[in-house]
Amino acid sequence: MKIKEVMIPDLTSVSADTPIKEAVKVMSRQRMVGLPVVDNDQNVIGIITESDIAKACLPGYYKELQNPSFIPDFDQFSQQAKKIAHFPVKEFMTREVFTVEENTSRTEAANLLFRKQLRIVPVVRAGKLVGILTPSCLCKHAMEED
Amino acid sequence: MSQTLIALIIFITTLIFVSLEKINRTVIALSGGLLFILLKILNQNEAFLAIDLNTIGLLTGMMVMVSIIKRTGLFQYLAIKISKLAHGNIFYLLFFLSIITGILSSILDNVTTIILIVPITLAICENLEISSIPLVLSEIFAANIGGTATLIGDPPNIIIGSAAHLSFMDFIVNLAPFVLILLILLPFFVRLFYKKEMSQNIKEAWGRVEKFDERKAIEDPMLLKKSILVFLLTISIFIFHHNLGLEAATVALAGATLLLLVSNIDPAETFLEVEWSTLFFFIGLFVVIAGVEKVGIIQWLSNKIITLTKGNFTLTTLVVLWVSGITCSFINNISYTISMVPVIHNIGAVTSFNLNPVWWALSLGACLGGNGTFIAAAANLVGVNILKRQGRIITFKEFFRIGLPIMLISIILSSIYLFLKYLL
Repeated sequence: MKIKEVMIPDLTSVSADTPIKEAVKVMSRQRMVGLPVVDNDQNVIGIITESDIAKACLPGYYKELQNPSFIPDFDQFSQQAKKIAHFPVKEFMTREVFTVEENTSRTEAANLLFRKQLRIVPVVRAGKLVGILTPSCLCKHAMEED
Repeated sequence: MSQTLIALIIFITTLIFVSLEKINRTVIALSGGLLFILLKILNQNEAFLAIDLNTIGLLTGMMVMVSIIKRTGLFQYLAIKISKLAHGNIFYLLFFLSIITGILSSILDNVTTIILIVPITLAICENLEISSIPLVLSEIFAANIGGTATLIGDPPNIIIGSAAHLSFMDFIVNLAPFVLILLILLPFFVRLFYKKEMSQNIKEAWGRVEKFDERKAIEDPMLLKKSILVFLLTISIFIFHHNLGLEAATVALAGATLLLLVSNIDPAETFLEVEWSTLFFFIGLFVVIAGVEKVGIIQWLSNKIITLTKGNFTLTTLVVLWVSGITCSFINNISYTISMVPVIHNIGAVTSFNLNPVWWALSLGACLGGNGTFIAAAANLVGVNILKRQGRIITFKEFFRIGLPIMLISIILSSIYLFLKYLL
């Protein structure tokens, strides 16, 4: 079985210049953990995930602290989130994105997803977005097949 | 080519490459050491015997203990607690953070101290909306100064203590009081360079820092209790280790083993945090210096120092202090100290000097020299890099502008201290 039979044929994506705030809205509306970033020709040029955005919202020193739980309020997080809300997606997206071709086998795709611990992978045909693949797609099909 | 010339070339190349940090320093030191064996200047047995296992054991024991205590959150707790004493005064904040950094650095290695303290400082500064640069720089200087106070505070002291059979208490008695004075003076000096930043009013924003809950920094209260007990026990044994006939490495390794035993932490997990790279850096350097010593370069250097100072003890001590301070502003102080140990032993062998003041001069010079430039000590590079990740760039020139005067003043004060205490 090929990935094109397993993937979600959802073409939801954003452009590199989409503001982060918009990307967050789309993710939330579509209940997606990440969005492929595409150019005008629908070529996948990156991916922006919830985790990329959450990291960008953290003040820089959070990443340096052993344990930030002594900081009682949400102020710094809110301030940083407001600051980056209008920044374009390209500032925080992952450029070296893992994609799978629609004709890739399930084994190969599963290997990529589980080895790299990816929660979402764009599925492409000659570099152009045709859908997305998540670990649950693979599990669901595996459980349902005869 | 004579063996002496080959040895000299390997030695100087090793020192230069270690200081340039273009290639990993451990690889350089191991390559230098191996070359001495491959070129048959040393045989394998001589090379192995040259490795000071007391130094390696002490470093390993302390690394294991610190890696466990670090998990408890104790150091973050202390940093937040003491910062609150500033009560909205920016200079007090600088003062207390520098002092706690210096004190922690006297029991932890300087890099660990900086990694623990600087992020807390950044959190405080961001909440107060002030520049973190004066505070972080002061902490870097304090870490280098504080490390000078004890046997376990800075690698040069570990090397000196082991080579000269100086005990933990010898360092406390001879260096700690003077280092404390330097630590207290430091914030006043840093203030001179950052008058504008130090005149900012932080009273209004201070409430945000007051809200920091230091108790939440404690991650494992049970481990904290056990760690404090074992650490205090270890320090107590350090105080008497010479009277008990125990070497420093035995005490540190015993402390580490006891802490592993009572904490029930998987040793494999802890050993991952031991800086094996640093330990092998030491091992490589010990072999390099043994090679240089064998061909007679060290003896030649010691004789040269005695001739230059005309056998004058005061002058020899002060020359060791100043040469160490200035040299260690540019080259790695571990490689410098390992090189100087046999030189000083040789000076002792051909003169009737009581070498102790010379060892203190070496310790003060090698440790305090670390403040001269930002390439001089690992703590400087780590601190500057943390700031860089926050988008705050400290150039070589800016560090040098403050670091060099701090280094020079501390060496001048050390000269006065050594002169009054030992040479008068």
